Amino acid sequence: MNNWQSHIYWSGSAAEDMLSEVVATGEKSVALVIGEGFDPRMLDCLNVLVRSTAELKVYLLKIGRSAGAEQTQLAARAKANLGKLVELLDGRGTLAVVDTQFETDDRDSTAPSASDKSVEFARELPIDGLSSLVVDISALPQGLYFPLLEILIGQRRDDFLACQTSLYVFVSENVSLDARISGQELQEDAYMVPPFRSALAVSEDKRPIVWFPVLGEGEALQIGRVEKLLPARVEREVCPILPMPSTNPRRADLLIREYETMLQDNWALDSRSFIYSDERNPFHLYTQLSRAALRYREALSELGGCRAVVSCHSSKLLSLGALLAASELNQIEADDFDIGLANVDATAYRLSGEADDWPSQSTYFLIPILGEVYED
Amino acid sequence: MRLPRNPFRSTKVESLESHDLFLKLFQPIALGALGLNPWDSVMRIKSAQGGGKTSLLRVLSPECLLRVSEGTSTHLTEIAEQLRALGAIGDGRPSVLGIYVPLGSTPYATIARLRLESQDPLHLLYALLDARVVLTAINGVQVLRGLDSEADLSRITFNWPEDGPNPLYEHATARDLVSWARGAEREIWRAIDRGKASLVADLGHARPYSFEALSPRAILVDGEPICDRVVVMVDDAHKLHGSHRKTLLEHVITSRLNVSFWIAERMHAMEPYELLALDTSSTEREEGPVVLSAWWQKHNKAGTSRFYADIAKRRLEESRVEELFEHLTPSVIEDRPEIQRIQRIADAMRAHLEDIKGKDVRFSEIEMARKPHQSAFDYLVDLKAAEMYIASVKSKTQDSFEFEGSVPSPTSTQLSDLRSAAEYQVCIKNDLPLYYGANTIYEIASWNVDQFLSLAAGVYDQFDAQRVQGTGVKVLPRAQDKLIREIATAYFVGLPKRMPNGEKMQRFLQAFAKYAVAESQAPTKKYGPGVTGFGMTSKDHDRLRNCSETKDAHLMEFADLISGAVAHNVVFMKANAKQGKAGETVTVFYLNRLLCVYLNLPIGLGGWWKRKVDHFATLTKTERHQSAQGEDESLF
Repeated sequence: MNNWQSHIYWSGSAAEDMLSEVVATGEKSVALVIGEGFDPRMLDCLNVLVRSTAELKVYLLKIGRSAGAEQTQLAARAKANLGKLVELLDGRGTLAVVDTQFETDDRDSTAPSASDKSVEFARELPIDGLSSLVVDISALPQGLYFPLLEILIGQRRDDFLACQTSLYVFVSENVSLDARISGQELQEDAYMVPPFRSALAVSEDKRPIVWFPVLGEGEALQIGRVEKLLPARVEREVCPILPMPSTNPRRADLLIREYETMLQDNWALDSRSFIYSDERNPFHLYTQLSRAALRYREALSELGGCRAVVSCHSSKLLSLGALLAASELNQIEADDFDIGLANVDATAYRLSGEADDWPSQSTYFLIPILGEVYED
Repeated sequence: MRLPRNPFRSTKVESLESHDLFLKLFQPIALGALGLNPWDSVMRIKSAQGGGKTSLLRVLSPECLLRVSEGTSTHLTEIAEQLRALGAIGDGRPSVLGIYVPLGSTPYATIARLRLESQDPLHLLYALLDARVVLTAINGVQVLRGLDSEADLSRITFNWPEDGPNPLYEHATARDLVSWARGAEREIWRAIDRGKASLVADLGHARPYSFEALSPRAILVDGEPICDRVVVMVDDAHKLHGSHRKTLLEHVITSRLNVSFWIAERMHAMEPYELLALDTSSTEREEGPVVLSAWWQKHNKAGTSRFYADIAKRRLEESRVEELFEHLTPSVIEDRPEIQRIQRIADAMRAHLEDIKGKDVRFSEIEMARKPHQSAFDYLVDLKAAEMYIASVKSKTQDSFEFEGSVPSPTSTQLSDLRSAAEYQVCIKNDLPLYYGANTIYEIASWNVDQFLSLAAGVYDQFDAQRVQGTGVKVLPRAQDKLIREIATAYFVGLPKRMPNGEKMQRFLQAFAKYAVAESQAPTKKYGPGVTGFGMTSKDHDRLRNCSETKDAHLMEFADLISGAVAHNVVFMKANAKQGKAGETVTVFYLNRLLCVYLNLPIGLGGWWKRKVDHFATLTKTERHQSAQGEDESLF
């Protein structure tokens, strides 16, 4: 436990430097997992990695489709991104395309095929001979990178150790671009991300549920769907997580105002129920969330323990913190505790504004998860 | 547990933790959808989200049946009466063991994708279903007989057949059976999560054995049977993988089960051809599944209004407010600031009509308004109706000079038809509130409880805000109109999130609106109150539902779009309606009434836009469509 009590991560130019000069050096090759699509950030990590000397293996996960009137423009943009990818890789490495696309019935499934495909890919991903595996989640939906990372962290940890391979997560954060991309055709219902499915799958389980929604803007529909996923007629505690500190000091207040009805009327919360987490430090959320879940487990031991459910409706960085906590807690094999990650994905995406007018101010983050950095 | 401050906000009846509160809010009239004998064959219940299928099943749960059978309140007695007629309550106690199996939150669909060496993944699904049915059944028996959760398990025994080839018969006691079920669920799901499903494949069942084992004769408490019937109610079956859902349904239909079996699912689980073949005017079980929205449509308007009014009343009883819909000002004339303006408009209209009558003797005898006038607004509507009548006569006779004498005043039927259109036009053209009043809200709810709750929640917030601010408790028509339009806009804007091809549907609706608005606001009325649907001949409808890659392939995209719209309650389909030429039948797709509000159309079921299906299909094909007649340009 406390896998990441001591931790480090890099942002901005330090992340770039670490990636090109430290991670991707040496004789062994480096693998990169990225998502295919119109999002310009899909190439950010690769753009840095190609500056290094290491041989590259790129796994391109095919995702959903674009929706709306701009469909043609966005498809053209995705095609252009793919062209650039091939160009960047020319003579520098290999490319493997992995089909993790949403299928028709994914909109209406509590077990979307895309997540299952991601699990399968993670289980079979060869890591032997790699110095590092970098997962760039910038252009990937949670439905894909949650299962992918959890299989790698939780179920293939020994493989990383045996192969002396390091695992890194790369995030290219761009708030203004995120605000322009909106999910369309949301899944009808939330679902528990694999391999966290057993948390809520057992019937007549009366252990109380503690739900940790990581709040972000404009997600009322998704939050409502996660709430519906939680079993009825079971005692429930809700602990919303707010971004504090944040680049916008009033962000937490604005979120409370946005979700006022939900927080006060539906959940009858008071100020003691909130958890605050640094929006730009995933390890802060990891620590806060792990502690809170374990305290609930202890406090509710007389009732047989509890089941914790985490859902992320905010940034990629915070979602990574939540995943790390969930992953660590998922290692607990006891009758008095289970943890699950709930999610609602969009099966298509839309970009507002002009398709060619990309905001360019992305900030890079490189977060080591397993391997060299954590060795004594 | 109490409802939120706004009792219409968010909380769905079926997910209420308190059975007492659930029953308090339950509408007994809904039980009529089950028909007279729901026990003897497999019953399929279908609805869009919020259609009420889960509430219908929950009332048959042991917890609810027990409360109803023991209840003394008028409301519970009313529910009990209906349940007695169904045969769910007898001799003052539940005679049915209802096993409610919701599939909504459990990821059963993943099982179909498991890679097992030699076992069929379906067998794992059956094992998990059996485990869930067993656990729910035993829990139900304990509730019905008031047994303590663990200690009294030994009082439950089974009268299994001597030689049945059923693995569940290996468990002689309830404790054994429960232990097997709990273990199986936990073991299978953990193995699936760890990628080791093949290790538990031998736990699988070749068929769902619990449907055979849990007969009313087999379950005993203290040696006595506990019920006359057992019904397994599988909810949200659309969550299963398509192949598993189909196989399960085939199994329960073709096998001899010892339980009654109900299966409820959302309509969008159906294939486009299935959806488009749904005859929503048929609600008889023998003819197919029970489609709840269709069942509601079959009830007359008064029944539906009563239903919604009752929902509102029961929710309000749980809040600080005793009445809400009584505070909705039902007539624009009670909106004082509007009265003078209406009077001015009416005076101008009267002068205009006098002018026409003076210039054209044929219309001199026409009565311009009913006497006595009920209000200035009614007077204005009468004048508008008279104007439309004159315009209509003129358009028919201007070339033929058919009428040489005076034109008679409209008959009462003509006048009634004209008045509904006239009221709509008067409001639209003079910027008067159009959508207000309790009955209008019931109508806009479009036979969907969720939709009603969202409308009522908005009205409640407005009422509460006025009350707190001390600005009066009456919600005036203009405030209601504004509120309803805002909800309608949110519904339209949210279509891409609600349904597949939502943006395409938005464009289709805008194309439709171009025609419908022009037609509804035309000076001469063909249909009262206006155009609120689109349709085609039954022959074209057949082509649409049978289209494929090899036959009428150009219709497939439209079939996909429209079937999705039907499944998500965006349009509702009325098939085989008699219309026009003798013997010709048509299918009409009426818009969800919230969309009528968004598109500024009347909300009554009036006229509809008839075209060849190929024309509609063209509208969905191209982004910038321009038809030969130049209509609908720039919309696609």
